[in-house]
Amino acid sequence: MFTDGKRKYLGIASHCVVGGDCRLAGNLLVQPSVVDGGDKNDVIGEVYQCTDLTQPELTTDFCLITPKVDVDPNILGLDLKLTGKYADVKPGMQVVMSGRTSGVREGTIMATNVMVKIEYQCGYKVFKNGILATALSLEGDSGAPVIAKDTGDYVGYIVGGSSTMSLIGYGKLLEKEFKVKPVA
Amino acid sequence: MVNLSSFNVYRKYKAWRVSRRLNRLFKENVILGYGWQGTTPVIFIKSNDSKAREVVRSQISFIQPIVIETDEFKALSGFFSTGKGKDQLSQEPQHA
Repeated sequence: MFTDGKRKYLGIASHCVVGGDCRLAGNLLVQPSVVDGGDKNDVIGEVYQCTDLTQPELTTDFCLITPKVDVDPNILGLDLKLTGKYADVKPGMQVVMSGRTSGVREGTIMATNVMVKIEYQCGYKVFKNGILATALSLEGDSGAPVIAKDTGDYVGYIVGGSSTMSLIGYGKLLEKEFKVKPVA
Repeated sequence: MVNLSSFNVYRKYKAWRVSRRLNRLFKENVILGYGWQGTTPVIFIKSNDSKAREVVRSQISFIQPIVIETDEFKALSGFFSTGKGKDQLSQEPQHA
């Protein structure tokens, strides 16, 4: 969860709520999704602000969701005390993720300040200022929080990856672009 | 005695030159991307891409990059459903 000091929001990857043209597909969020057995009675929130994925160059791929249900700020499966701070990310740092498909997985930061070409459904984009870690995510894990294992600081969120690496959106950039901080 | 100020300016200049060269290879689609392990550049090239290997060997081996071979990067799906109203929910997970 995130806060701008006034309200609390859920955070997910922007590409989870867009259509094939990378434009917003709707404003209501259902969880579990229809694929996972959810239906119209499972609306959990409303889109508040998202990265515009129609741009050719991205530094975030993130959406803030205004929750319409009570939300536990703890992360499913993680036995870590969250600090509510963004991590200073360094290569070699041990991280842990909790995703929809993979569950809880651990990994190691391989490189920071990364620029890669990444394939979206609407074409290739250049993703800047990302973080690469050893492979810790699979299809369905996008938007999953990545936390520093030693400190409980928020590292970022899963964006994508290759078969051997995971691309993480850098958490600290959310403070600049969305004016929010993680909730402890 | 080493003038630290001059040394730092030189290091920044060197890093800028390395970045510029890597950026050019990225824009020419020779490499999939690049990042950093501290001051050491990390380069990502397609697995078994002999052309990229040769370019890295012949043009930028002097910067001693860490070269990682991998397949292309893709945005992973997230399994959420969205809709404009409660009766207009998408029946598929949103992909990107």
